[in-house]
Amino acid sequence: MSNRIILLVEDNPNDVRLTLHALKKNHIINDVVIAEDGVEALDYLFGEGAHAGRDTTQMPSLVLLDLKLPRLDGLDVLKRLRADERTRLLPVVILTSSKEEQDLISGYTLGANSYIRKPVSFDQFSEAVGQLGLYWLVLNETPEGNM
Amino acid sequence: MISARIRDLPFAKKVFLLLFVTLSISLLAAGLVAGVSQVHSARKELVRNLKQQAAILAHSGGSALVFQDDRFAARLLSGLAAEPSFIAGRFVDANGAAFASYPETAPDMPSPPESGEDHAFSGGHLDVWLPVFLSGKEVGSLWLRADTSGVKRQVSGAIFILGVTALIALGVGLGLSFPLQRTLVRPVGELARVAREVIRGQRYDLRAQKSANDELGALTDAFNDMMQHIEEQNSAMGLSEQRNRDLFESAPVALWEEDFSHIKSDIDAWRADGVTDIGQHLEAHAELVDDCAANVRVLDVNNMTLKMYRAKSKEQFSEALESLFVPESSAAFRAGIIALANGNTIYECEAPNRTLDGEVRQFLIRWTLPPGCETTWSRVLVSTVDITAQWQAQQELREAHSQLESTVEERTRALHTRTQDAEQLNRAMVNLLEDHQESNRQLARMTSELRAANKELEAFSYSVSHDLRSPLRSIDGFSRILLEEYDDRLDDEGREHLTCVRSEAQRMAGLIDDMLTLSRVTRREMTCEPMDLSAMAETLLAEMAQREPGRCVEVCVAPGLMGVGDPKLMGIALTNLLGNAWKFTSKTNTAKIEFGIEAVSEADVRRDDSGSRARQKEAYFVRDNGAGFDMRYADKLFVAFNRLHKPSDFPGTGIGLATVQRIIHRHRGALWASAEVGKGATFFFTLGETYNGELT
Repeated sequence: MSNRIILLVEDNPNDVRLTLHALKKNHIINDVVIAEDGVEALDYLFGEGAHAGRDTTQMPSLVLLDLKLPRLDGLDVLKRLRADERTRLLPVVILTSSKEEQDLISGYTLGANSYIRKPVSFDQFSEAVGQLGLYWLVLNETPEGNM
Repeated sequence: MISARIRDLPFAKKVFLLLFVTLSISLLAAGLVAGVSQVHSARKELVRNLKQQAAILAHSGGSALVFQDDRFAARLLSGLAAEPSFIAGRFVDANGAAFASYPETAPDMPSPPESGEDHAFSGGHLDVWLPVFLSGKEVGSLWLRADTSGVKRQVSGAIFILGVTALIALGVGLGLSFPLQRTLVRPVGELARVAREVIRGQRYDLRAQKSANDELGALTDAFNDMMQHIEEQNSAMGLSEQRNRDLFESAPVALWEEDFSHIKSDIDAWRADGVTDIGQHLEAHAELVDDCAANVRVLDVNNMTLKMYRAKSKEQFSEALESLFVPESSAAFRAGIIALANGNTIYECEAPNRTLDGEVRQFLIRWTLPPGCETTWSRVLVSTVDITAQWQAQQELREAHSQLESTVEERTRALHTRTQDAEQLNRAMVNLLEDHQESNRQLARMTSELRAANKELEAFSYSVSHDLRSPLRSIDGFSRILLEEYDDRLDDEGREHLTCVRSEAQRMAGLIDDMLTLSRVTRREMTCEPMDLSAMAETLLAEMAQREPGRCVEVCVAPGLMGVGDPKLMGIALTNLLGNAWKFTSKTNTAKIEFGIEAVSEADVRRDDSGSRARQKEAYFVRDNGAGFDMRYADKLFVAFNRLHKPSDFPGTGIGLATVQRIIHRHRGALWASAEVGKGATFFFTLGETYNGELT
C-alpha cells in the first residue's frame, strides 16, 4: 500500500493542505503527487512537459480530481484519461465544491469512478477523505498490469 | 245594243225570234246554193253549145280557108243566125287576117286569154276560139261570140221561184212552231211567277205546277224540292237562331257585336292616299284613334256585358259607351286597329275599362273578325273577361318580386360592405400578423437575451457554489485544526470564538446552498407527472424523525393524495414546508404535523395575488401546532431573506418559503398561510390543472 501513489489535482493550496491533513488524520501515508491544473496532471500521467522522462509504467493508484481548474478543467482531463489506453482504467474520484447536477452527470458519463462534494464542515470532509482512501486504496481491486 | 235588247226580250219572243232567224237562214242558204248551181249549169250549157257549133263550123270551114272561098265561109257563119243568142263570128287565116265575118260589121276579134283557155266571159258575152285544121294541118282559126243575157234571164226566173217557195216554207214553219212555243214557255213562266211570289211574300210553302215530264218538268221538280229544302232549313234556322240568342245572352263572358265598317273605310281611304303603315299613321295623328273609337257602332251586347259594366239596360250602356275608355284602353284599342289593318282576324289584349259606376277594372279583351267580314269589318265579335283579381294578384306578385329584387340588391350591397369590412379586417390581420411577427422577432431577441442572462446566472451560480464555498471550507477546516492541534494553547474563550467562527461558516454555507436551490428552482426545466404527495410527505417526515430521534412529533398524513407536477421541485417545496413545521414545533410539547387536503373558498385562493387564477375548490395543506406567527407580517413571509423569528429562537435563512412560493407558482398554483402566534401555522397550496400532461 505504501508504494501506491495518489495524484491530487487541486489548484487551491488551502484545499491541498486540508486534503493532506485529512489524509494524514486518516492514516493514509501514500505518496501524494500534487498537480495544480489539468495540464500539469496530464503531463505527469503521460510523462510530458515538466514530467518528461518519468516512468509512465508507474501510474498512480488514485486520482483525486477537482473540476474547476486553471487552463484545462477537470472534465477535460477526465475525457483525455478515458481516451488513452494507458489511463483508461485509472480510478478517478471527482472531489469538488460543485453541487451542480450537470457536473455530476457529466462526470459519471465521462467515466468517473466516484463523485464527492467537498463538505464545508472539515469534520465531514475529513471523514469523506478517510472513507475514499480506505475504499480505493485498500479495498478496491484493480486489473493486473495497469498499475 | 242589239244583243242587250234581245237579252231583255220576253222568253216567248226569244223563242219566236230564234225560230224565225233559224228558218230564214236555212232557207236563204238553200236558195243561194240552188241559184249558184243554176247559174253554173246554165253557163256550162252555153259554152258546150257554142263549142259544139264552133267545132261543126271549123270542120266545114277548113277547106274554104285553103281554097280562099270566103263566101262559103260567110255562109257557114250566117247559118248560125238561127241561134238567137249568136252575135258574131269570124274565120281568120293562117296569117291572122280576117277571112270571113258575120255580120259583116262584126266587132274586132278579141285575143284569146293567155291562160290558154279556149273560152272567156266578158261584157255580157261568151267568146270561143277554135283552131281550124285540114288534113291535120292548121290553116286558120274560128271566133264565135254569143249573148249571155239568156242565161241571166233563166237564173232570175229560178231565183224568183226559190224566193216564193222559201216564203211559203217560212210561213208554214212559224205557224207550226206556235204550239211548241206554248209547251216551252208556259212552264218557265210558271216557275218565274212562283219564284216572284216566294220572294215577294217570303212564302217558302209555294210550289210550281209541273206540266210535262221533260227537262222543264225536272226543273220544276228541282225547284219545288229546293223550296221544300229551304222551308225545312228555315224552320231549323229559326231554332238555331233562338239557340244562338240564348247562348249569347246567357254566356258567362261579356260578348259584343260591333260594326267597324266606318273605320275600315277610313283606313282604305288612308291607304288610297298613300299611307302604307297604319300604325305609324295612327301614332302620328292621335286624334284619329278617337275618331275610330267614335266610329264604332255597337250592334248588340249580351247580359253579361251589362252586368260586367254595371249597366241597367242596353240603351244606357250604348249611351255611356264613350266613358268606358281610360287612356290605357285607348292604346289597346289603337293596337287592335293596327292588328286588324295588318290582316289579323283575331286580336287579344289586356286593358283597363271604366265601368258605368266609375270603377276602373282590368279586362281581357278579344276581337274576332268572323268569316266573310275580313274585308268589310261589318261585324266584329268582342269577348271580354274581367281579370281584375288575377291582374291585381299579378301586380302584387310583381311588386313582391321587385321588392325581393331590391332586398337582394340591398343584401348584395350589405354583403359587399361586409366583404370590404372583411378585407379591411384581413388587412388589419395581416398588419397584426406582421406586428406579431415583429413581436416574435422581439421575443426571439428577448429570448436569446434571456438565454444569455440565464447563462450568466448559471456561471454565477456555479461560481457561488464552487468559489464561495472553498473559503468557508478553509475557515472551518483551519479552525478545526486549531481547535484540535493547538488545544493546549487555547483558553475556553478562544475555543468558544473558534466554535462561533465554525458555526457562522456553516450558516453561510447553508445560506449559499439555499440561494443556489432558489436559483435552481427558477431555472429548472419542469417535467410534470403524477405524484403521490402523501408518500412523499411521509418519507420526508420519516427522514426528519430519523435525523432527530429525540423529537416526539405526532404525524398525520392523509393517504393517497395525488397531484401532477415536477417531483423534484415538489420534493423541495414539501421539504421546506414540512421542515418549517418540524422546526417551529421544536418548542411545543405535544407537537403535531398534518398533511392533507381540504375545501377552500375562492377568497382564500385569492390571498395569493400573484398565484394562479384557476379556481380550485380544494387545497393541500401542511399544518403544525408550533410557534405560528403574527398575520400582520404575513406579507413578508414569502420574501427572500425576510424572517419572522429570531435566529436565536429558530435558525433559518429566510429563503425556504420564497423557494416554495416559486415552485408553487411554477406549477400555476397558489400558496398562502394562516397562523396565530403560539398556536401554529397552516400553509395551503394548490397545483394547476393539467391538460395532456401540461399544466394550464
